[in-house]
Formats: sequence, C-alpha cells, structure tokens
Amino acid sequence: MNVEPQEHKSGDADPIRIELTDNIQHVHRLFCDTTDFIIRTFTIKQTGEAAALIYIDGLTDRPAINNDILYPLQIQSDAGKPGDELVMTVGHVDKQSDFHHIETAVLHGSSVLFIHGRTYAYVLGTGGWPQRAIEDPQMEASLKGAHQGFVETSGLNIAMIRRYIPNRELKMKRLVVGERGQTNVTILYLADVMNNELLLDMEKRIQQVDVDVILNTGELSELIEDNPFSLFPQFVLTERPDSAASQLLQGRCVVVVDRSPSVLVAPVSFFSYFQSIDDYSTRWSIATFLRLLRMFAFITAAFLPAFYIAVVSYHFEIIPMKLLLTLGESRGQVPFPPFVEAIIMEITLEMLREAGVRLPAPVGQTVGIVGGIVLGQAVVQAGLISNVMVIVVAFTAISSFILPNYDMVAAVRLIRFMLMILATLFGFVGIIVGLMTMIAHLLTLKSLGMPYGIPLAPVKFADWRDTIVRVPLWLMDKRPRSTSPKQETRQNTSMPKEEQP
Amino acid sequence: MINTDKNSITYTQFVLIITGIQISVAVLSLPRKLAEAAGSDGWLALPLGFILNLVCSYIIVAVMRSCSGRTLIDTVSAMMGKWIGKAFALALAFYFLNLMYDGLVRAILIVKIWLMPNTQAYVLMLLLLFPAYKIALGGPRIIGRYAELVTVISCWLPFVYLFTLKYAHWLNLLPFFKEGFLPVLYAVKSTIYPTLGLAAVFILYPYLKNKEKAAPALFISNMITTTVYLFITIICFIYYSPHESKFYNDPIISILKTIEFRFIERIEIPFISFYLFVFSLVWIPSMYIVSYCMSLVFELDSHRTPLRVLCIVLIVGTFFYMPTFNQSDKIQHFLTWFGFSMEYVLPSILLIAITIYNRYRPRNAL
Amino acid sequence: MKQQSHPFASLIVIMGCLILSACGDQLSLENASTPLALGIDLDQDEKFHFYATAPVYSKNIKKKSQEITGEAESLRQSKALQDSQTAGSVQGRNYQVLLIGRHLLQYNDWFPMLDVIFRDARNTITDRIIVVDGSVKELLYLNPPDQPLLPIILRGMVDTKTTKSETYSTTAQELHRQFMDKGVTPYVAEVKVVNKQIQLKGSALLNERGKYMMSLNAQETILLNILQKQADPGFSLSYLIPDKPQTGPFATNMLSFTGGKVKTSIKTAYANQKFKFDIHIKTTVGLSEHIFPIDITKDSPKLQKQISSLMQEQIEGIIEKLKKHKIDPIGLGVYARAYQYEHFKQVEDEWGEAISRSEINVKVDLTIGAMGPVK
Repeated sequence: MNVEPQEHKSGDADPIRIELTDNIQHVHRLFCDTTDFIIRTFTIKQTGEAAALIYIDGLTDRPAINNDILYPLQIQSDAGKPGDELVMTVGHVDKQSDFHHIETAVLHGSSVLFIHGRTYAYVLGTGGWPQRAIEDPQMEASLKGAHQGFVETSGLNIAMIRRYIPNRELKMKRLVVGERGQTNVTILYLADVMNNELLLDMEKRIQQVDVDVILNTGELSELIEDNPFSLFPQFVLTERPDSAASQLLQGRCVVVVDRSPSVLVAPVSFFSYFQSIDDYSTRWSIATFLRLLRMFAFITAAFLPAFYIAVVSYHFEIIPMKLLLTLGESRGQVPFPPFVEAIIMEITLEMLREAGVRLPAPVGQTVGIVGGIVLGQAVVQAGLISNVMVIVVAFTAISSFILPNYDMVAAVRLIRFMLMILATLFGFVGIIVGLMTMIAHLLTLKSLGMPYGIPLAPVKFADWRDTIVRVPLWLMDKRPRSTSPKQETRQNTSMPKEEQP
Repeated sequence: MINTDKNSITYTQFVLIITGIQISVAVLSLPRKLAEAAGSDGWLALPLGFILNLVCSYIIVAVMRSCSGRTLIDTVSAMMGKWIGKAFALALAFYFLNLMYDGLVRAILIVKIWLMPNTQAYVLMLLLLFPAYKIALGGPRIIGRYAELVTVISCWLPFVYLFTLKYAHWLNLLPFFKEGFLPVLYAVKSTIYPTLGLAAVFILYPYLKNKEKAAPALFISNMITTTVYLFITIICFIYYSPHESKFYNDPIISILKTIEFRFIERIEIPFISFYLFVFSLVWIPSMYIVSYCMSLVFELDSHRTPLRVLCIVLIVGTFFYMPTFNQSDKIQHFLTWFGFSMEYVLPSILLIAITIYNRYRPRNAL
Repeated sequence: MKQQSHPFASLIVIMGCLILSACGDQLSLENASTPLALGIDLDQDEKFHFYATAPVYSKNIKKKSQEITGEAESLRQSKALQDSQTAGSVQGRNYQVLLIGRHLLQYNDWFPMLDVIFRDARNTITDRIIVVDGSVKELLYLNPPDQPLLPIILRGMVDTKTTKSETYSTTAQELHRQFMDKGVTPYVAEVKVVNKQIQLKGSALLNERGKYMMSLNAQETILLNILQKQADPGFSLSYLIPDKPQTGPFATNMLSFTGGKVKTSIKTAYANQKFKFDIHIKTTVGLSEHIFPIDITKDSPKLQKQISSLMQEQIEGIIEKLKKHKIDPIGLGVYARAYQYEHFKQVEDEWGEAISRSEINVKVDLTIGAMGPVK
C-alpha cells in the first residue's frame, strides 16, 4: 500500500523550503480546487515544532491518521527537542525532500507531514481507499479450487499469490506506467525458474508503454501484445490467485496491475486457454476428458455453423438419406438462403448473450426465457428458421460456454463468422482454406516471443502431458518446455505403489 | 551466407518436409501408374524405387557434407564462379517452380472435378495461395512446424482406408511377377515422379540442427514415403480388380467414394477438402525454395519480394491460362525426366566435381 | 509489434475479389431436386426410358415424392428433360438405389449407359443396384400409402437381407468391379411387385456382358454366398428330410438350421485342358427347427450326413446351372488367375466358356453344434 517515489521525470527539482508557511502555500498552489484535499496544522507536543499534515480524504485510512499520527504527536508524548525523531505508530515512513515525490505520494493515498525547520517531509503510509472484500472470482468460478479472487489493490493481490509460493525466489519488479495515471505494474516471477530473456523482454515492453493511464489489465495486454492485429489473445488474464501461482511455477511471469482485478500471464500458448485450475484438483482421467471436450467444443463453436452452411448449400450429398429427408423438410419452408438463416440466428445469439451479461441477474433470466422460447420455438413454427439451424446454434452456444477463457470465446465468435462467410462462398474448400489460414496465423503468432502454437506447432510431445491431456500429477515431472525455464525438473514424485493383496 | 540460427529446423521437421514434398499430390495417381506399367505387380516396384532413392539421398548428403555448412549455391559459386552458381540457383528455382506449379494445378483440378466444377481456377489459386504465402514467408522453421502440424492432424487419414478392407480381394495380388521381372523394372520409372523432392535437401540442409543426422533423416523420410505408397497401392490393388486399377485417374480418391458411414455418406467430399493440407506440403516449401533461389540470383536480402511476385504472377497467370488435365499429365511426365536429372544425375556429377576439386586444391578450397 | 501495417487492406481487397467471383457452385438443398432412386428400362417399343423419384420437401403436401420420367437417348442427355419436370435442378448426388428392368437386361452391353454415374464425380456410386422382375415404371408408381418412400424401403430391404446373405447389396461401384474383373460375372439383387407389394426375390445373375441369365431364390443365394466366402454367420437354411414321414397338410419332415462360421476352401488345379476346382465347405450349425421327432444326441451323425448331402446336392445343382449358362458369379476365375495364371491368361476373354468345361467338385462337411433350449 505504500508508494515508492518515482524517479524525476523532469530534471527540475522542487525542494522543500525551511519555512512551514512557504510549504503550505506551495501545497495550496499544487492542490487548488481540490476539495477533498485536507491540511491539518498543529504543534508537535514532543518537540514543540509547528507541523502540517496533508492528505486526501477518502484515499487515506482515517483511524490510522487519528490514532497513529495525530494522537501520538499531539497528546501522548514525552518532552524532547526540535529535530528529534518523532514518535509515530505508522509502519511505513519515508523521508522526502522533493515536492514532486510528495505530490505523487499524496495522490496515491499517503499522508505527508511537514515540519517547520526541516527540509524534508515525512511520507506516511496511511493509504486506505475504498476497497472491495475478497470474493469468489466471477469469470472463473471453480468447483474445487480456492474461492478467493483478486481485488483492485495490487498489494493485496501480490500477497494472495505469495500465500501460495512462500519462497524467496519469488521476485518482483515494479514499474510505473502511465503519464497521468502512474499505475503501478508489478512483474512477479520465480527467479530460479523463469527464463531471463523473456523477463527482460517483458520489462522492456512495459517500459515502452507511454499512455495517459492504464485502467485495466486488458489495456496493458493490448499495448504489449506481440501481434495486435491477431484475433487471438496472446496473454492469459486471470482473476484467480491459485491459477497465477500455478503459472508462476510453470516458469511464466505474472504481471499485476494496480487497480485491476485480473493479472496478466505470459508467455502462454494457444492451449493455455483450455486449461482450468480445476483440472488439477479433479482426477486425471476426468480432467483429460474435459480437456479433450474443450478442444472439441472449440472446434464445434468455430466450425459447426460454417459446416452446416457448406453442407446445405454445397455438399448435401454427404447427408445420410434419412437425415436428408428431415433436413429437406425443415429447410423447404425457410424463405432465406442458408447463410442468411445462419447469420440471423448467430447474431440473435450474440445479442442474447450480450444482453444477459449487462443485465442484473433476475432480468437476465427473462432474456434467457425470451431467447429460448420465443426464438427457439416460435421462429421454427413460423417457418422462418429451420429447426436444424436452431439446434446448430444452440450447440454452438453451449460449446462456447464450455471454454474456460472469455478472451478465447470472444475470438471464437469472430472466427465463426469469418468461416461462415468462407463456407457460403466456397463450401468445404472455403472452410479448409479458412482453417489453413488460421493455422498459418497460429504458426507465426508469438506470445512474448515464444511460439503460440506450442506444443502442437512445433510439436513437443513432452508438453502434451499437461496441455492436450492431463496425465497423473506424478508424471508431470518437468516444467513445460514452452516457457524454456532455467530449472526443468519440477518434482520427483514416483508413482504411488499399489499394495499387493 | 544465411542466418540459420533463428531459422533452424529439427530432425523431425526435416524428415516431414521432405516426406511432404514427396507424397502430396503424387500419391493420387501412383496406383494407376503402377498398374499401367506392371498390372497388379506394380507395387513390387516400390521397394526397388526405395533403394534407388536411398542411394540418391546418400549422394545428396555427401554433396552437402562437403559444403561444410554453406549452401550448395555458395559452394558452387566459390568453386566454379559466381555466374555458374547463379545458373545453378536458377535451375533449382525452375525445378521447384515446376514442382510447385504441378502441385497447385493438380490440387485445383482435383477440387474442380470433385467439389467445385463451376468455380474459376484463379479464384481457387487465390484461396490456396493466401495461407501458403503466409507460411512460406516464415521460412524453413515455420514451414517445418507446418509440416509437423499437418502430419499430426492428418495421421488418421490412412486408417480410413482400412474400411475398404471389408471388400478386399487379396487374391488379386497373386501371383507375384506374373509377367516376369521386366514389367516391374519398367514400373520403377513410375516411382520417380512420386519421390521427387529430395533436391530440397540442397536448400534445407544448412538449416538442419544436427547435420550428422541428415542421412538417417533421409532414410526415415524415404521409409515413410515408401510405406505410405505401399499401403495405398496395396489397398487399391486388392479393392479394384486388376484391369480396373487403370480405369480411375485418381484411385486414392475414387476408393473413398465407396466407404459409407452411418452418419456421413460420401466421405470423399470432406476428405478432398482435407487433403488440401497434404497437397499443400508440396507447394509451400517449393514456394519458399523458388523465392529463396531467386533472391540469391538477384542478390536480395530477403525472399519476401520474390515470393510476392511469385504469388501475383501465379494468380494473374491462372486468370489467363489454366492447364487441362492432360497438360497437367504432361507436366508430370516432364517432371519425371527433369526430376531424374536434377535429383539423381546432377548430385552425382556434383559429388564427383566437388571431390575432384577438393583433391586438387586442398589448401584454399571452400 | 509494429509490423504488418496493411494486412487489413489486402484482406479486404482479397475478400472483395472473392465475393465477386464466387458462388458459381452454390446450390442449396431446397433448390435442388435430389432423386433417391433412379430407374432405367425399355418400353414395349424397345425405347430407353429413365425413371426417378425425388422426395418433396414440404409439410403441407400429402404425397412425399415426385416421379420424373421420360424417354431418352442416354441419362445425361436427358438432364434437361429431367429438370423440366421439377422445381429444382435434378442432382444425382443422393441416389440410394438404381433400378434396372429385366426387359433391358435381355440385351448385352447396357452397362456403358451408366457411364455418367462414374464420370460425373459428384454422383454417388454407392447406390444399390436392383433388378426389377417386371417393369420399373410399375414399381416406381406403386407409392403404397402405408409405407415410407420407395427408395427407403428398397435400400433397407437390400441392406438388411444382405446381412442374412439372402441377397446382394451390389453397389454401382461393385458392379463396375464385377464387369471389369474377367474372373467373375455380375450378381445383383432382384425384386418383384406381387399384389401391389414389393417382394425381394433373391438375386439375379448376369453374364459378363450384362445380359440376364438366371435368378436365384433366397436359399440358393445363401448357398452362392457360401461359395463366394461371403456368408456371414446367421443365415438360415431349410431342408425336407427325405426319410421322415409327412402327415396331413403340414410339412412335418422339415428341418431348419442357422449357420455359424463357414469355412470354404477352394483348391485350383489344371489338368486335361480344363480347370478343376475342389470346393470344401465346413460349417457348424445350430438347429432352429425340426418338426419331426428325433433324438439328436443319438442320431446326430446320421442327420449331419443327411443334411450335408442335401446341401451338397443343392449346391451342385446351382453349379450345374451356372455352367449351363456359362457364368461364374462365384469368382472361380479369380482363383484361377491367382494360382493358374498361365492357363487362365489364355482363356480369360472367354472365361464363361472355360468355366462350363471345367470340373467343379463340392464337398460339404456339416456339424450340428447346438439343438436349441428344447430337446
């Protein structure tokens, strides 16, 4: 919660004056028209010096100021002489002699004590801004995992990660991003695991960011991505401390952005988006099944509508006879060509989904009912959409809900529309060309300089153990090669011995 | 000199690129050509072709080894002068241009016959070149990864052919050497075209990580190619009656038409589309090699410009002229001889030339 | 990170080109007419006719199929005539069955008429070939109201009976193979319309040029399947046992059994200017019905011998007929080619002649393996 003063951006130092009144005037000038800015002047009982405490109301912890600064300084104190060390029961105390630093500190929630006759001021860590309680992460709910999600304070977030890895090798680098926002960005990594080059690359990229303010991790991720034109997310954003810790252990770095409840993980591969923290707490056979199911869901979510369009408008010879009769009957009454039919339904689905996200839960249910009953039932009865199309859309929707990562789902949505257009124009050939282009893109795409398609392109069979499938934990003795870690061995557990009867 | 560090390819990738260039479109008509040459004994020519290729592979590796890390073209330039080196690069470019063009034309013709008879050829060319350009631009490493990925996602393809075993007539294969040994020897000629692609080693060798493994890699890749060919040819021969094998232009695809599943009739439709992945394994590396050689000839620093020119010329060219099936057959026939001289004769001559060169100028050589 | 400045521009240009030039092959399901059955036959004036029946995709129309017919020179030549009778464009991509009238089969060399099926790559070649004993027209316009569409019945009929070896589900592709293979003559399924009901007769055997030669009933088809090594376990054969008494109107001397795995071995030899085939059939069967009383535990060796000889007689009868008609649906020519290539090569173009001169010996060894849950 403390703020380390930032380096001078501009060379001109603005030192603190000896006179308290000069300082107060200067501060007044800096913070004019700032009604939540408070200056409290008083005399320190211990030394008899005149002092002024400045802070921003609301960003600071009131009880701390009252009990730990004002109370000891004004009331409960032994006599002393000017210039003595002051008695304050505040943990983080920092001496600063430059207004530039003081301004930043105040704006970040510290209170600053000026004392007449001293050319430095005390920056006191009394930050206490409005905070949310730690809650279950909403986007990544888990069944068996922990129920703590990140909050908007980076200090707390780092603490939550450290709870999982209480090891001195867990190092961090703190950077400040944003000219106006001065956002604290912390890179966490395991010093003896994480690859140095990747770490330096990450640091360089963050340092190169020059914006007003970063409000969210998503913004940072977009600014430091390898290929901003890609549809695919290149960093995983997670709001789970346990996922973040697990990623750290695999040799990745975690970037914590202050004021944002999600952290950024890099480097990742395409298959990272199919992993969920629950995979490690369920039995390995189930987890493997779920992983394969997610891959399948990705494929259906991206390709099924396109496949439907291609089959109905180009290649109906592949439909088995009995299905052909059903399909023909339901298509026979639809006035639109397959592509229009599919687009109408897909766009409706996307609208329903967006509507559901923004609305409060009770209203959201109504949206579901309207979507399910009105569209599913009435549209088919009215003969506007064929019932097979409704099934296709429903299946697509369910498939995309299975994917654990929101960013990947969003990518899949766009891919789906592109493939639908290709399928309308060229049938199966279009779909395959689309797939080939997607593969070409995945092959060239990188995440923090590491190949995005790993372990499928380039093929690293050793990494398949924890990406495409999930083998028993005792077999995951190596850290993934996709992060090229310094330390490869992760564990030396052997298979539990089965007792002979 | 090229920078091979950032673009090095692994052993597996090397194997699969070579195998990919060999198999791709050539596998389609192989059973027919073998049957035309030697009836149902045609498959016996495959092991002979394998041995021939093995010899050729070892010659090529020996040539490359004596180049000690440089590209062959650099070596030739150093040995016989800059212009001969350029001429050599041009010849390689022309050869791979042929291979690439043949692959593309075949693929487009197949797609046009089986899936999209009314679509313009240049549209299909555009479609196929779009992803190909992106991959070829990435250089050997990306191409290697692509070859690897395609192998992984298409390794289930042969298993589908096992479904035809329900109608297998194993007796069609008997008796062996029914017309004697000569037709089989004659059929070896048909195995030349489907095994073309070893010349890619000339370009790819410097990128290989473990150069001493090149010879085993080529053995493996020839092995894979021959196994696939044997498997496919035998499947076709035991399914079709002996005279029928000659009847189908592309028996590999025709045979798929007869497989029925409950949930999908006519599996050849999705299959031909999917085969585009396999086919693309010939034209993508070839595109790279052509543009790379051209960049050497014109002394450019990257192969991007030649690649772009190549793509545009291909698309515009197809707009005006697209070979027919017969002309495509003629290209293949021409490739058989051109390929034979490029991959079998030329390396032997080179090997002799380099050996002599090294012997007589041991001090300042290479 | 700042590479790729104009991928979008080129993408848009490419997409534009594609949209302008595509869609040449689009034909959506509802705009196509997809006949499920194709029939060819000759009329009284020996004129070639085609017939097709396509499903009608509508909920409001009672009759679910539409028949297309016309006189034509050839199948593809008649495309315009076919199209003119339907709302959509007629596509041969979904044929389930291909019906051929017996009248047409009285001529040789009709098979090239089907060339379009193989040459147009979009046509299906897994449609089952069925010979119609009678006119194709009558069968196609039957449209019984209490049954599903004709192609569905026929396809189901042929496919399920084939698993019991009672007929052949010969596909167009398989027929092509049989025509192209010099060592075998074609065999296909045969149906007949009896009292407005479709009935599966068994199989029809053609000569190497496609002319109809003879028909086999279900039981004979099973035996032919056994000779071809195609019989799957589960076929059922019945015989009248000669020395058992028959009382009243009931065939009390009837015995039926279900076949198990059949082991057929064919030995090929060449002697005295003719081929010699020794066919040895070994099988274990389970009794499924014997109407006369018999003590199986005691009399089974005798019964086995009786059934074996009955079966052998019937097979020999079939083979005699095949020889008479100079056809070889068993595919003995394939054996001859494999084992006696030199001799086969000399006669491969008149294999029918050679098979009629050849010597074919059959021996059946039958074991009763089970008698059912009752004694």
